[in-house]
Amino acid sequence: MTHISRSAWVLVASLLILPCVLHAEDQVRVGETTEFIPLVEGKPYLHVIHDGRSVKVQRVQDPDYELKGYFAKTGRKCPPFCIQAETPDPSVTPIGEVEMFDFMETKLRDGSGVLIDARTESWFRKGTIPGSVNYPFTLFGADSNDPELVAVLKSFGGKERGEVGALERLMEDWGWVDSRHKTAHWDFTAAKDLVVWCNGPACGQSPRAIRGLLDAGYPGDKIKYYRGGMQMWQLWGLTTVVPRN
Amino acid sequence: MHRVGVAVLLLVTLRATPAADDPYLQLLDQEVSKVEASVTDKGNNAATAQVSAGNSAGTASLVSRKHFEDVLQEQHVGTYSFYRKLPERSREEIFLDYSGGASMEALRKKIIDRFLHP
Repeated sequence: MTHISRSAWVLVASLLILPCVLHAEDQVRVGETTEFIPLVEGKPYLHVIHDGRSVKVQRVQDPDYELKGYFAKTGRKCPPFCIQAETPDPSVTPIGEVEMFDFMETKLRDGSGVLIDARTESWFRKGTIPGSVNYPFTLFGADSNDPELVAVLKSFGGKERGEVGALERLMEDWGWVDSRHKTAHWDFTAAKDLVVWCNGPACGQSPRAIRGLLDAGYPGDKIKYYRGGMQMWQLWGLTTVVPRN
Repeated sequence: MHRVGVAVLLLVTLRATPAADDPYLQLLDQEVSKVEASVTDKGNNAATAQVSAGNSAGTASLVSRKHFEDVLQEQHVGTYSFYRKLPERSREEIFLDYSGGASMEALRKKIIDRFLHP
């Protein structure tokens, strides 16, 4: 009887103590994770190559840090700085910060993707998202034969097709040959994935660049639109870089 | 006559479209003068300072290495199987290369090289 009553007391005591222990463990776990503000859960930071050097992309760790200056403003003259649609074209997928991190760690790192700062050069000079290359939107509004635009499309992996034979065209028309990423002048089958961005949801520069790319025949499924742009990037306290030259 | 008028109007409109960018570019130039480059620098410095001073930097590296290994396993299963067989010192070195921004191609080459020539 004594044994039973002692066991019962141990059981009752364990039941009373256990929730406290679990609670304490939970508190420790929460405390540990709040010390460092990661990019996303399980990913504290990442590295990208910018202008030949490695840049660590992370969030500002000061919980009292507040965004100030131009990108903290809520309104600008509209037009032209009006709130943009979710995507400039249905064929182009809008992405957020998490997808940007993935892109930076995969396609950008492998060289199968290009991160495009589509703002004019003066904006780029004030600071940009690490890993970005400056291709101002004005470039993509040029005539499709413009040598600069042609050179850029080639650098993205586009191939000029030259003369397309009647048979080849016929096969493409009939769907016997995959022509999803081909136009009359360009073959974008092996073209890189692009992420295009500008100042934020009220910026029209990257939507214009995207429309220019689409007009040139660049496939919409190879273009992503980071609508948040510099404004959202800075709102999350993410690393920016000021170009050296 | 009416059709000719419409055609001319259309041509003028079309020709005016590229020129319409000019006031936009002027406005963009005006706006950019309101941006202080130092604001972003401050953000960076704050972030860097916190990381170097923070106690959780070691934990952060461990988590990040796990992420690298997950990415490698997900995207390059074959290379990952070689990577797993490498000694810890080589794996650490490869992760440091990754942290330094090395391309996945360069890392894969290094892994295979280390595997074939231990």
